Amino acid sequence: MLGSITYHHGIGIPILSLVLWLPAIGALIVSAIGKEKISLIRSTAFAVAFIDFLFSLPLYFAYQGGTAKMQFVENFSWIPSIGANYHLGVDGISLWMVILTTFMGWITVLSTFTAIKERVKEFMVVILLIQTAMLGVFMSVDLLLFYLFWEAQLVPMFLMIGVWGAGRKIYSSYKFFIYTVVGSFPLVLGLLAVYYNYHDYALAHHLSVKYTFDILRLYTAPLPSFTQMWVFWVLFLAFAIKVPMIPFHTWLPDVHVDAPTAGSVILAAILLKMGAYGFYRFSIPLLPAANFKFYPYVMFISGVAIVYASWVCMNQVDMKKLVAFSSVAHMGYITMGIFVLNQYGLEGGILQMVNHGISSGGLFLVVGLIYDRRHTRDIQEFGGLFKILPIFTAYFATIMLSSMGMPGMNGFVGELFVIIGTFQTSLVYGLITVAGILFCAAYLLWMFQRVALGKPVNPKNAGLKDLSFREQMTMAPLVVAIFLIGLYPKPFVKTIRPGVANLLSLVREGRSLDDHEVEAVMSHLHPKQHKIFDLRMIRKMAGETQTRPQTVKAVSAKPEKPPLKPTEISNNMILKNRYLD
Amino acid sequence: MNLTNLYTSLQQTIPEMTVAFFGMLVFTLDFALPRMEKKFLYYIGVLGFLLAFMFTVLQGNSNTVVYSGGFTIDIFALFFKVLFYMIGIVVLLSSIEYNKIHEVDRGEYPALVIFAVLGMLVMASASDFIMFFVGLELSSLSSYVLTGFTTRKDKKTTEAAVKYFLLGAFSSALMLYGMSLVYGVTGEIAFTKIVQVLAAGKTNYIMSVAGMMLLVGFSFKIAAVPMHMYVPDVYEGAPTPVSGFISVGPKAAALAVMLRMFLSVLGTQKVEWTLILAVMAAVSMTLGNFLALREENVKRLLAYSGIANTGYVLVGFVAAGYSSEVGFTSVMLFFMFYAMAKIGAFSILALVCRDKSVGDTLDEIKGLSLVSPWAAAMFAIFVFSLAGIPPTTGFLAKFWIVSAAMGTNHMTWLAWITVINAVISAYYYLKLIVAVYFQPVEEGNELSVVSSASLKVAITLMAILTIYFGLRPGVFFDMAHHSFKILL
Repeated sequence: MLGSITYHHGIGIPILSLVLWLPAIGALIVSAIGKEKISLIRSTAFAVAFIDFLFSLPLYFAYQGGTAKMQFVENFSWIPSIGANYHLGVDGISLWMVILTTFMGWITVLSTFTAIKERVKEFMVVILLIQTAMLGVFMSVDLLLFYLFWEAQLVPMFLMIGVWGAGRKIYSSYKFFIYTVVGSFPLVLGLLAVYYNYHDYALAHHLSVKYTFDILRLYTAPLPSFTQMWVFWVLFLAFAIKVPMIPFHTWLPDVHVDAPTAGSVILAAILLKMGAYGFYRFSIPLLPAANFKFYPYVMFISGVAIVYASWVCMNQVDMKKLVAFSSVAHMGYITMGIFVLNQYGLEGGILQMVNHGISSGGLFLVVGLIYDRRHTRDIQEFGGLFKILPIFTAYFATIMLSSMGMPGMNGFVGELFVIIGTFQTSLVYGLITVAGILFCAAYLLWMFQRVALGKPVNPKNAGLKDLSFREQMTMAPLVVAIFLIGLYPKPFVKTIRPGVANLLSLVREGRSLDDHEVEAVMSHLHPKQHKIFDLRMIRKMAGETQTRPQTVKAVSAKPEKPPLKPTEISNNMILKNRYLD
Repeated sequence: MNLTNLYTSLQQTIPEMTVAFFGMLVFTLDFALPRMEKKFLYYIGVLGFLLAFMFTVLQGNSNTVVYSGGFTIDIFALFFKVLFYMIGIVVLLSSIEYNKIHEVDRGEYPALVIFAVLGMLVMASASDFIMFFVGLELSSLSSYVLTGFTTRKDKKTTEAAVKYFLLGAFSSALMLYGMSLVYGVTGEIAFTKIVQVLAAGKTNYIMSVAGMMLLVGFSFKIAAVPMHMYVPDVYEGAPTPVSGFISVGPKAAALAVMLRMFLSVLGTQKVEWTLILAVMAAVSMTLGNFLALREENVKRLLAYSGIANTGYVLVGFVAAGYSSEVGFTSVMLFFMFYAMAKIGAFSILALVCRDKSVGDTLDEIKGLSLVSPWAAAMFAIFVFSLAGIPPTTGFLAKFWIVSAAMGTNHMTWLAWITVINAVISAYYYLKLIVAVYFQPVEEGNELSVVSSASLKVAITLMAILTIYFGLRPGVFFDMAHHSFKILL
């Protein structure tokens, strides 16, 4: 069984472990360097982060498209008596998250060279440790391992805010930690319910593996309907706080404002994605019945996030707070994309995760650059910067436009996918997502206008130095990525699509796709066959579950379907929705 | 008992004999060589523990019963003995520095630590009431004296010692009475035989009374609500290394006996006891955590956190009451990992030398990371382990406790309470980190950290192990599983 869902595709070396542990080893190396050798510490940390990025590139180039299976799998026994394994792998859902993390990693390290002057050594250690923890979250195929990394990220981030932050840093660091823990400690209970459910399932079906934390195995054991309902909300709490979704978003602006620039970049670019990734990896495939029952609520609060957070943005005078709230709005798109539960929405969600990582990280870098120069982030203090800082303004404009979703840039592709997916589900929410783009354009352009355009009236801004080569090096890669995704999104969509199709198959039928089916999805995804991924059918089904609860029961009790013959598949009924049978 | 049996018994208890020998050696040397520097006595004690540890490990998993059924050498005992040696070594080493600051220059101190540990070692192996009680009293009496061990006229210390002694003696008496009742009903003192008699149906209501008496006694030793009142005062008043010692040592020993005896003796009336324990667990956790929230004295804070942690342990007990393997192993693992973190945190606290040496408030450890990055880092690792944040062992410990409660199917409410408590406790553990890392040194507080090389090695090793076993806990899981197989 497991052989068919993991795919031992290797390039001869344990590439995932290498990428995962390199930053941690780097942290050890950095901590061995003497405290006074600041430039050596900086360059070592940068080298480690950059090499980590280079090592992660083969993940894309050697990635086998056209399959939904886990790749580059490493699976070793970890705590055998409880069934926990050191099990790493990437699939279409996590591949880009890993690469995004390593990509933003070296940029973040580079951006701290002048901003961080105190306790440089500890800072670099902390930042590298965060990177390992984040990579671990995206690479783990083992529940316990996932949770371990999920929590391990807390401590270094807490220290980063508290030690190198500004303003009410202690308050903010508490807020970050306690909020996360409020979600993530109960998360244990949800995950354990899944774990013990598998145990019961294994006993009932006489499986050889009685206890396991292997996520792919856990997918195969359907959860009873009631368990799904409460586990859904437990998982939701943890992930929604991390994303953050309204009404759990209040920690984000405070933390962003008080964190150092690098902390904000990491937070916005990667940490928030962990929440959304949690939805992809756990909520969606494990709890199909609960998803169909509760998706309208999640769509509702995503819609609220898009509209409300955008309006709040309009009102901000602090640039960093504005960008922070824009994160809430953009993450609303991602959760919307996830919970419309169709192919386009889910694909768009992942694309948008990558895009938001780049644009929002970029915006925080921009704010950081301006803060380094003026030590204020008050929008009113600026104006006409394009005359004083032309290069800076060019980068600022590009990243701002990408965040807005300008066609030809990355944001456009992701948002388009999400909007198409949302319209397939609901006209009203579709309109809300479109309106959200307008709001987004409004607050970003307005901010840009107030900061960069017009006449440079404030004398304090005169004589500011434009970007140095190092600072340009932190922005240029982002611009390259923005246009790369915007103009040629095919490689991204190509790797994401099978993963998402597989996810939908798990939701509908409780089983993973085989390669024939994936190929069919890849080649036949045109409007006629979209229907199989169309939410209208799911909605119909959800209506049925409410009137006829026995349908769900019957399905969840019977996960194993005989594999379809390839001929059958190519005759279009690739993923015929069995709920409608 | 004939001579061959006696010979085997002595042979099998070489580790305990070694510890006893070194305890007496320290005493004698103190008298014989009055001018010798006292710190050598501590080192001799450490040497004794190391030797005994070696013997214990060599002895391994022999699974033999000696002294006419009173003393069992098995993997379960080994598990706890390893912990006790570790506690003993760390306490001795940190006491050297602490006593230097506080001008306690007495040879009895290390000897008492050694005898207390000896008592605990006996308890880990005890498999009848007599042996258990001898071990209990040996360790308790030594701890009472250690609690009051000061050369200054310190009201708090005296109060702590008297309180600990009076309440401890009272609870020991209750426990002894409970034992006599069990003996009266069953006519046996060995745990396994009592279980046999009870399983044969020879039981009556007196067993419930006896069980209650034993439970009260044990609750005192492990500091569970409602027998927790003494804990904050005693921990606050006692010398800091001793606070660390009594916060883990007697607890661990009592837990060992509870696991070996309590569960099986009460096996006949399982469910009813499980509910009592469950309520105690819930109340201990909640009360301990809430009281710790507003506590400004670090030692008292750690004391309240100790009460809360006792609650977590009892959750594992409840699960074990359902004959759950996960429950049984979770108690052992939790306590092993908790003890490492707790004794570590107390040791660091003992080394922090303040201007005003009496107080141990949060204000006085502010800015520790600026004074000694090493001490701050160690402290942070232990505190995060207590808070249950990976990659420390504390995370796995808590995870496994919650897992045990979830696995029973009947006690999921307890799992929820545990998790909610873990969230609450995060706040006050963070307070410690914030004081150490985020705040500057208090004005007028001459903060410094004293430490010897050997102590540094010991504590660093323990911190590294806290992280190492947090990532590779396999060996402890295996030991705990083996123990479950032989005991239940």
